[in-house]
Amino acid sequence: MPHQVVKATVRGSQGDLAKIAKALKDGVGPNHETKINILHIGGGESHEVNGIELGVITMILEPDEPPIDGFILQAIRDVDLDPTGDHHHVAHVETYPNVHISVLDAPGTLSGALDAVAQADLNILSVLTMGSGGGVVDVGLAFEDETTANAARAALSGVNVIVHPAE
Amino acid sequence: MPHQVTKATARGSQGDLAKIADALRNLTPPVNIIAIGGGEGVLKNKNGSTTEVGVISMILEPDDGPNSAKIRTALTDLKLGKGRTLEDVEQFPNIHIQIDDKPGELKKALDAVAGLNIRSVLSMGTLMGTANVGLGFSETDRPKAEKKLKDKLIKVVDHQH
Repeated sequence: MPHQVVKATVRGSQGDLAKIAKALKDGVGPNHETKINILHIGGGESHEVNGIELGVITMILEPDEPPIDGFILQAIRDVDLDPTGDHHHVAHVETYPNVHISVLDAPGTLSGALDAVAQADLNILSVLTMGSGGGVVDVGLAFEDETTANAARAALSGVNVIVHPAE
Repeated sequence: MPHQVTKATARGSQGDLAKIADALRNLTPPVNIIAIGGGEGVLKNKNGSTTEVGVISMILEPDDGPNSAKIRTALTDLKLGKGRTLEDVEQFPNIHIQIDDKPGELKKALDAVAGLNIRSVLSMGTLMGTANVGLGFSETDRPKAEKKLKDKLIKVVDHQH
């Protein structure tokens, strides 16, 4: 089964990322028995919009197959981001199907892939580099559901990228 | 000179990411996206509505000398349609660290820089059990972050263009 993307939104606050990483390191599940490795991570704090500053973190984790994916979401939701203050939690966290593509490591190649998805009128929820080597860059694109992800795979099959199979 | 992080904030809208990538491709010289990470942030407001904000952090090449200003101008001037532009474009230093590719190692690095504000985090590839990660800091915090990381024996990769 391919990896999923975990995307978390917090009201931008110093130290939140370390608290989320600690929850994964400490282990998830009923007895915290499964320690989670962060394979890929990307994100940052937004500029203030409508008086709100958000932090958005996108991750690909291992292991993340069912039922561990559910335990991961619960563990992140349970993180107390302000234990000495208002005890707020992550504003939003969800998992999404990841479409894994490989593009040549050269200017414009990722742009070509993103154009194909945009022209198919599909919304990319997150983007994440998954490593590079041999002149190729691996990129993960997250979509709302499997139907949209499959439509993206079809759109991407018409451009100069390798689309890795869903299964 | 180490790479910078270029971070863009947009009010989430379909197709913006492709327009950002196009703008970088069309620069002279064309700019390559070495690492990219981010997504649409979702926040429920008190009135039940939802605020969606897209945040994208990128490490680009070339990004030194005059290329840095070209990138910033291209993204700041980028027309996203319907009169929209990016809400914000920022550039700040990236610290490239290397950690073991196993649970808890990123946490150690994040703990090392506790007290400093991490502006972005980006995976930069994994090879032979070593994960490369970029942590973005303000210019003021960068030397403090480097010292804290080195004090905790986290490997900081010294980049020279």
